[in-house]
Amino acid sequence: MKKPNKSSHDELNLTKYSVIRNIIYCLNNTAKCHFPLLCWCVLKILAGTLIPILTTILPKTVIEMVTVEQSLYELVVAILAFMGSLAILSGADIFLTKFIYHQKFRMNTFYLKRVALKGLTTDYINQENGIFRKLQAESFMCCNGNYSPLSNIYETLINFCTGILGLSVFGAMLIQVHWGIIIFLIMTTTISYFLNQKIIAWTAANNKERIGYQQRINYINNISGDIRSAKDIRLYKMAVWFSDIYNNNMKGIAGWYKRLTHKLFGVAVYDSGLALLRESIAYLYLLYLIWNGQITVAEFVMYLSVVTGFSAWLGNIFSQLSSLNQINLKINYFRSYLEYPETFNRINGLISPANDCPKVIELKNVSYRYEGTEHDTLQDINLKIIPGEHIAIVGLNGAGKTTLVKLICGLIDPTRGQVLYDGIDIREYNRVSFYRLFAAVFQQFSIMPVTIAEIVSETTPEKIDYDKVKSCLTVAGLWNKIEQLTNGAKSQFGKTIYDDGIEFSGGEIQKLLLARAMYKSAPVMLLDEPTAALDPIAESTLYENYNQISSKKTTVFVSHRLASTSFCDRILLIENGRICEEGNHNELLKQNGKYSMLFEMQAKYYRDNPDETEVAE
Amino acid sequence: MKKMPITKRISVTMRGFSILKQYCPGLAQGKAAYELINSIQPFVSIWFTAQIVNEISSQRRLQTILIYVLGAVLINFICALLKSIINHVCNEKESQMWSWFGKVFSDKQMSLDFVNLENATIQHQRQEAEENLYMFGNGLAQLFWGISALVRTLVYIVLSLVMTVSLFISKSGNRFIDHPVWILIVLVCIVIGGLSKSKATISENNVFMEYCKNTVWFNRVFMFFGKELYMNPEKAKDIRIYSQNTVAEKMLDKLISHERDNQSDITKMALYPAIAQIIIGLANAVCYLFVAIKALFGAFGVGNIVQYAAVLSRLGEGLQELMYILSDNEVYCTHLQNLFDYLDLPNHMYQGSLTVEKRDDNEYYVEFRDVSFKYPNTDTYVLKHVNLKFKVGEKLAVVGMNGSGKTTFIKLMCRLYDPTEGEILLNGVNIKKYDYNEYMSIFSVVFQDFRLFSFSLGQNVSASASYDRKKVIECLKKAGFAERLNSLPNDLDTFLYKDIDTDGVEISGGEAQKLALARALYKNTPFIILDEPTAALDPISEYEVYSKFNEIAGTKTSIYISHRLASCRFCDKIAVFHEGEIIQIGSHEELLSDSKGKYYELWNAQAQYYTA
Repeated sequence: MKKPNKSSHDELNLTKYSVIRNIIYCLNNTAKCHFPLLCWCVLKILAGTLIPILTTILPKTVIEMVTVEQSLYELVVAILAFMGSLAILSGADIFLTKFIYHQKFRMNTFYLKRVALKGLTTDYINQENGIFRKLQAESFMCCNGNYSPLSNIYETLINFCTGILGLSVFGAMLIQVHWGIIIFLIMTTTISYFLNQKIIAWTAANNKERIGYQQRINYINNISGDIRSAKDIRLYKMAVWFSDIYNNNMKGIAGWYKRLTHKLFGVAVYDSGLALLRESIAYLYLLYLIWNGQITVAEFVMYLSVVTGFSAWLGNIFSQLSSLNQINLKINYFRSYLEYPETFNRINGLISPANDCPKVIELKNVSYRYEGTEHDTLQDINLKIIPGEHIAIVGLNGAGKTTLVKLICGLIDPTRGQVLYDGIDIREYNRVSFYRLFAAVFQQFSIMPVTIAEIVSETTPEKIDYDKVKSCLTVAGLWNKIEQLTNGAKSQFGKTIYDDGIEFSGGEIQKLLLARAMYKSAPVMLLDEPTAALDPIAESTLYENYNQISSKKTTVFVSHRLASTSFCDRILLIENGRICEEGNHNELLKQNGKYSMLFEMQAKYYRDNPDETEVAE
Repeated sequence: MKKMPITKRISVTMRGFSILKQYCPGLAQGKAAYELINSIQPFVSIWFTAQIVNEISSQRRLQTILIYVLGAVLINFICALLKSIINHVCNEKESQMWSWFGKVFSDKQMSLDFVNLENATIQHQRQEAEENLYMFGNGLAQLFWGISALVRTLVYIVLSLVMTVSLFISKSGNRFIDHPVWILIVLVCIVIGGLSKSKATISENNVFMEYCKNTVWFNRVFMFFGKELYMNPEKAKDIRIYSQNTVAEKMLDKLISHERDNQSDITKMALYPAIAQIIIGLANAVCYLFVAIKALFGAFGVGNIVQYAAVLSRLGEGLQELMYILSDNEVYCTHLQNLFDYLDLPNHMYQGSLTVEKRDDNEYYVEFRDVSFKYPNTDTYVLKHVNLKFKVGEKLAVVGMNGSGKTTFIKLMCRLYDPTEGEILLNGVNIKKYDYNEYMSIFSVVFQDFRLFSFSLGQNVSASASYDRKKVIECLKKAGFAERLNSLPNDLDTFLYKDIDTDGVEISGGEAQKLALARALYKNTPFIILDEPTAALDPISEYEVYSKFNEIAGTKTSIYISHRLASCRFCDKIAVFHEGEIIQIGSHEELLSDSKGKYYELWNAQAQYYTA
């Protein structure tokens, strides 16, 4: 049942597994995560097959017993046996349906965990890649919600297997009558299936038009209910205009339905005609058999329902097959995502000692180009940072400052050239352990909704050193606030999960991030615009404490406030992807170049009154 | 929740259906027709099969049999044909049902008194009705979904009774089985089956509600650690540097173990309906037994066994569903009533009936007589004792600081609100006495927060579906949009924005303001009111608009609100608002000569930067 898929998602389908392989994949995972679910499914298949079989045989048995005037006792026993088992089976069937429906959610969480972990640990660059992100979103959808593909597969497979089993049993019954009937039924049902595919295809092809009408109708509904439009609507009597457009689109939709109905009528005539043919032939043939005395009245009744049941099951199998196809496409997205290639060393590679003193960081002829862009963001950067040096990186927006920082800490690897730590190309290191060397405050941050202490220490509650948390928060200037909270450092951050969580302002968040960076006590500290949201007093406090924070560490400080860099040993001015000036503050000022110009531009506002206009009086 | 009396429930349900009929034409009927055919068909099939079997096992008249066969297959053919057509159309229509429901709300919103739009209680009322409808289908959608069950129940109960009457009255000759107590037993069994089903549904729902209460924490953790944390690229750097994946993994594991802990609820939810099903199955067994034994003693032919057995179980299903329908009806009636409460909010603005004289000479004058106003449910007056009279052709400027009541003054004048105290007169008559639409038709207003819509340019300017192209172009030229108009791909038929038409054009704030002005001009009314009409324009366009506007508005009564005091200079009269009162009124020169006045202060605050 493999069909070429022409959707725009095709580029996403990186790995193409067959339906069978994906089914096995799902079954394997189910066995691993929640084996009983498989057993429930098997039971459900059995119940689902037995019920219709019993229902078909029951009238035959009863009629036979009545016609041959069997004893009352035997009749009662037979009926009680049949109906009793039917009652229990259908009870079991309902139980299993509901039970499986609720149980399969566990698989959602199981798969979700994989999706989340892949997204959290994948090479950083993948999270900037459009295809990867689309796959990621698709994969999330695969295991989110009541009807996610990865949980729907159970019902689909159950129905499919039930169909196959039922079909074989009924087929075996029919073959005793005549094999030709089976061929005939298969033929007509298959034709019906393809006729209905035509309708689906027509709807898909013409859906755009309908969605257009729909969109305009929805738009009208939105704007006319919207309070912001209310004044204009009333004063310009727009209700008339809107209802004209609404009615036009309703007419459009009505026309669309007319065409659909027309199309449907054609197909439905054929389809129902086939059913008519199927039934008439079945009736006539069975009548012929009964006339010749080849079957009894009881068998006649039974075979009638076997014929109907057979084609119903066949139709069911077809529709399950097309859902399986849909699901398969989604599972392929899911697996493409999980198997998305990674380049960083994770399991092997050099392990770097974490609590070590800083080592030399060196960039050799490093260039970096973002995918899909035509110019290098960074070009031919050569830079050597000696252990314990305090570096400042300055430059205009978009100059490439943050890219440089990302290269240094190994979030991205250079397009050309090498980044060396302690003389070794960082690609040689185990990347996970390499990240332990860095503490960072980025402009774009991630704080999880856990307790303050957990955020600062980035570890699980039992490993937290509360004294250290306190001292870091004190230096960052946030302890005053934390101290006043009822639960202190054990308060929850934000209201994402708990309604009584604590909200922080932008400035407070930056202080929290700073405390977290300090707690990590890594040999290298990266600070990317850590003062943007701080008020002037907090900012100057940070500068005063900078020595305390940065002692015995290599630090890289990114800023566009030039005044803030004077306490650094070396300042790099980045322009157009290159280091264009380098030196300490005074040296750079003396150079009278770009840095000095930028500095003067900013300084002017601090020195003179920018507006020289005289006040008229 | 109060219980609704049955008569009320009937009338609410009927009104619900009439709304369905009005807004979703054909949908309810289609659904009912489908279900009617769908539920009758099996009975017809059963009946024909029974007849055929009876004939075969008795007289075996070939012709009769063939007629029955023909009848059976033909009826099936027709039913299948109708069903498949109605079903497809219904399904497609059903998928649009939600936007039709949206129209119910938006129609009301458009005709609602403006003051109610800003009333938090009323808007909350609407929001609640809307949310319940869209999230759970409460109300209209439930009513619609219930149609199938309703039709099916009726058909099942009626047809099963009709087709089993002969079962109950036929005599087998055996006194034991013919005893009427058996009929009673069979009926009791069926009723027990129905009751157990509805009991099970109620218990299952109760467990489910409990189950959902525990899921708030689960869902939040699921959405953050299972989605937000890694899907947000901004977080990706910190996640790696601080290896946040370890904490995330722990949280996800907690989710998994949380699910394991919910087993007992899940088992209950599955068990209740299963037990009910077993009871129903046993009830069916009793029925079947009764039919078979009667047949065994020769009460009727074998064909009837097929018929009675199949039909009796459907009688049970009909009864089960009836119980469900009754409880469902109670739920949606409550929700429908909430909806109707909102829809029935009276529109006070439409009580006037006087026509506004259409005067070519623009002989209008407006008078505010001791007008005070506070917003509903608030205590502070936004306007206090405003007295103001101005007549045709006058140009009035309204100035003042933010929050001084300028825009409220405009809203009162064009009757978006009615004054709390005092009255507003047009040509000496209280404006409440005029027909609302007529009164509105003498004003063109460009509000500060005007809206344009994602339809064609021409429609936006004319605010209607069909319009005078020449006039639109003329107005656009006057508003200073001519240059941009020439650059548009489809002239007046160009769509604004990209919501509806992907080829639509994006327009800047300044351009939008020009379009709003053109719209006001197109309406061509005796009064023209501009509330900060040039805020988004650069100084050059601002100058253009004002110089041209003076020329256009020549004979019209016009009112300007502006922070740019320079633009008010050319007005005949300037009213200075301060804390809801008019504290000064007069011409620019008059007001400026009072060096202790507010106007003087306002003027100089701006002027100091410009007068060198």
